[in-house]
Amino acid sequence: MKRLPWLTTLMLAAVLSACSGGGSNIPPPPPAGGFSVSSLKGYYAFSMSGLDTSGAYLARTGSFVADGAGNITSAMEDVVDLSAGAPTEVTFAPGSYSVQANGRGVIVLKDNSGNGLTLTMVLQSSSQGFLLQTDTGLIGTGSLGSFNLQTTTDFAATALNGNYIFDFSGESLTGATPTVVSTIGNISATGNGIITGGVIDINDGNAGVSSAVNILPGSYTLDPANGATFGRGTAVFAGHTFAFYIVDATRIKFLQEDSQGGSSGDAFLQSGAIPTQDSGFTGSFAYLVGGSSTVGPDAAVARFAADGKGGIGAISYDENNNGSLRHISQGSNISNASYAIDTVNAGSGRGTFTFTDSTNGTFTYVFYLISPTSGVIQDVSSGFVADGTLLAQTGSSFTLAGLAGNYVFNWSGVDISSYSVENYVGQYALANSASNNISGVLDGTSLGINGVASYPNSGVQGTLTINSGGSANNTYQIAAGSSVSPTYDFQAYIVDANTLLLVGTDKTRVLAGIVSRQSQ
Amino acid sequence: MRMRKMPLWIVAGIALFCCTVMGQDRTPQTPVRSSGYDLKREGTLVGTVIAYTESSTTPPLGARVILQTTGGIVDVHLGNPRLLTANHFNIQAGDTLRIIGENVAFGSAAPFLARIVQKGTQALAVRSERGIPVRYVAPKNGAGSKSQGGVL
Repeated sequence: MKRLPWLTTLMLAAVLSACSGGGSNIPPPPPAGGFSVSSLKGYYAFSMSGLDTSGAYLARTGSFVADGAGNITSAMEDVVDLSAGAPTEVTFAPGSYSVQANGRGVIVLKDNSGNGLTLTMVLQSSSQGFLLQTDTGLIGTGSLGSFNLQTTTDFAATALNGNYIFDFSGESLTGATPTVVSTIGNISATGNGIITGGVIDINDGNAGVSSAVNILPGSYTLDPANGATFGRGTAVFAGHTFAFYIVDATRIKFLQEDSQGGSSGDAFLQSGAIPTQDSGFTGSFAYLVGGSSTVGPDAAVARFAADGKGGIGAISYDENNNGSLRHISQGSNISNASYAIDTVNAGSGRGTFTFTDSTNGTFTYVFYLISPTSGVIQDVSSGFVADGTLLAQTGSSFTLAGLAGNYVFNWSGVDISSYSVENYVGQYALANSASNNISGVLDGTSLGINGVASYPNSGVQGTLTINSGGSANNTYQIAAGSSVSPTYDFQAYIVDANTLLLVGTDKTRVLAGIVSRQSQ
Repeated sequence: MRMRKMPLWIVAGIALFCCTVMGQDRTPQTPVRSSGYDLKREGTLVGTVIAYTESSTTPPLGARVILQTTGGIVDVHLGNPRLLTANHFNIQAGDTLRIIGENVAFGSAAPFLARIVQKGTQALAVRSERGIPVRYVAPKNGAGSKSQGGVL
C-alpha cells in the first residue's frame, strides 16, 4: 500500500475524527492530582510497538532526558519498521513536554531531519508511565508502550549480571509467510559482556511451538557512542541481534534488529526464591495474554490457584477470540488441570500448566517466573500464538473501598470490523460508589486501511462492578465522550489493590489492557 | 481499484442459508475455542464468487467470500482484509477462485479458513502453514512488489 502524503494523512485523520467516534457528551474533568512538569525529570528508557501507516510491524526503543521544566534536552531511539528497510538509530533535537495535574502529558520531539514524533503520556509515577504515539505523520502511528526512569549509574556492562527473564513479541520473516512470533525465556549475563546461555520457548506462526530450547552463549556490549549517555547497547543471543537500553540493573528494554523480523520486549532480573519443583509454586495467579489465533486477533484474561502439588483450581477465564466471547468457570467442566515446574532446567523459572474445558477444549501455557509473584507467559494451545504477563493475585476479597484511587491504563487491540489497530492510554479516578465510579480521560488512535485517526483527551465515565469478592471476572464498562467508540466493555481481573487486567468483550473489537494505580 | 462489495445483509443471508460443501459435515456438536490448523486436513476449493465482503458481521469477522463450487456454496474466511488490499488482490462477484484451506472449529461452527487464495495467476498466502493469519510486510525501500509467499 502506498503511503499517503503527510498532508493527505492529516486531512484524512481530521475527517475521520470528525465523522466517527463516540457521540456521548462526556467532557474531560478538570485535571486533578499532584503532577506537574517537575514530575518528569531524569533519564527515561521507553519502548513502543505497533504498526506503521502501511500496516507493517513497527517498534521503537530509546531514551529521553527530561529536565523537570518542560524540556526534553536530548533523546534517541532505535526503530524497526518492517516496511522501511534496515533498523535505524534516530537522534532527536531538543524537544518539549507538558504534564497536567492528573499525570497526562505530551512529549514533542523532532529528529534531525525534521520528522516529528508526538507521544501522549500518562504518568503512573515520577518513575514510570505509558506512552501512545499520537502524531499522524509518516514515522508510523499506532504504537503503544511504556517508559521507565533510568539509573544512570547502571549504564555499564557490569550492571547486567544475573538471570534475566524476557518476553519478546513481534513478527517473524523467517518462514514462508510473515507471521506473529512470541519468544519468552531466560538468559544469564555475567557482567563482563558474556551471555553464558539460557533456555527459551518460541511460538512462531510458521514454525510452531519449540518447547524448551537451550541457547548457545551470546554476548553484549555497551554502545561506545551512546552507552554512557543513554544506556544503549547491543546484544547477540538466541540467533538474533538486539539493541537494548538499560533501565537499571533489574530491567533492560530490547529491540530485535536483524533480517529475521522484528520483536521487542523487556528483560527482568530474576529475584527471590524461584521454585525448582512443584512444591515451590503455590497461590493464586492472574494472567493476561494477547496475540493471534487461526481466525484472527485473540486476547484472554484469567486466574487460577496452584496447590503446590502440581494441580490448579479455582479457574476463571475470559477470552475474546475474533469477536467470539467465552467465559469459563471452574466446575465439573474442567479436567486435567495441572502444572509442572521444569526440573530439567531447574532454576530457570520455567513451568507449564494446562487445563481442559469440556466445551472449549484444551488450554496450554508456558511461563517463566521473574520472581515468586510475577512472570511472563505464552499461550501454546493448538492454533494460538499469544503471550503476556503472569502475576500473583494477592487479597481474597476486593472492595471498591480498597481499590478507590487514581489510575492510569492502556488498552490495545484490533477493530475486527475494519481491522484497524486501536491503542489507548488514559487516567481516571475510581470512587467508592456502586455505579458511575470511574471518571477521567483517555487518548486513543485508530490506524486503519485509509489512514490514522487520533482522539485526544476524551472524557470518560464508567463503572467497575466487583462480583463475589472480585477474585474472578468483574464487569468494567467505559463510556467515552469523543473516541473511536462511544462505549467499551471489559472483563476485569483484579491482581491486587493496585493492578487490574482487562480483556474487551465488545464483539467487534479485541482489546486487552492493564490498569495501574498512580502514586506521586 | 476498490474491491466490489456486496451489501452485508445479502452476504449474511447467503451465509446463513448456504449449504456448505465442507463446513456442515464437520461442524462440531458443541461450541469450542478455535482449534489448530493441520496441513494434512487441507482441501482445495474451486468456484465462482457469489459475494465478497471486507468486513463480515458474523464471527469470525474479517474478509469473507461466498463461493459457488460444483458441490455447493461455501463460506470462506480470508482473514485480514488489509493484507488483500495491500497486495492489490481484488475480489468481486463472478471471479473464479482457487482456495486451499480447511474447516476449523470455531464457536458452534467450523468455517472454511483459507490459507492460499488464487485468482488467475495471482496467488496470495493469507495464513501460515499453522493457520495463523499472515501479517502484511510492505516492499522495503521501493524494492518492488514482494510476494507474501505461498505461490501454488
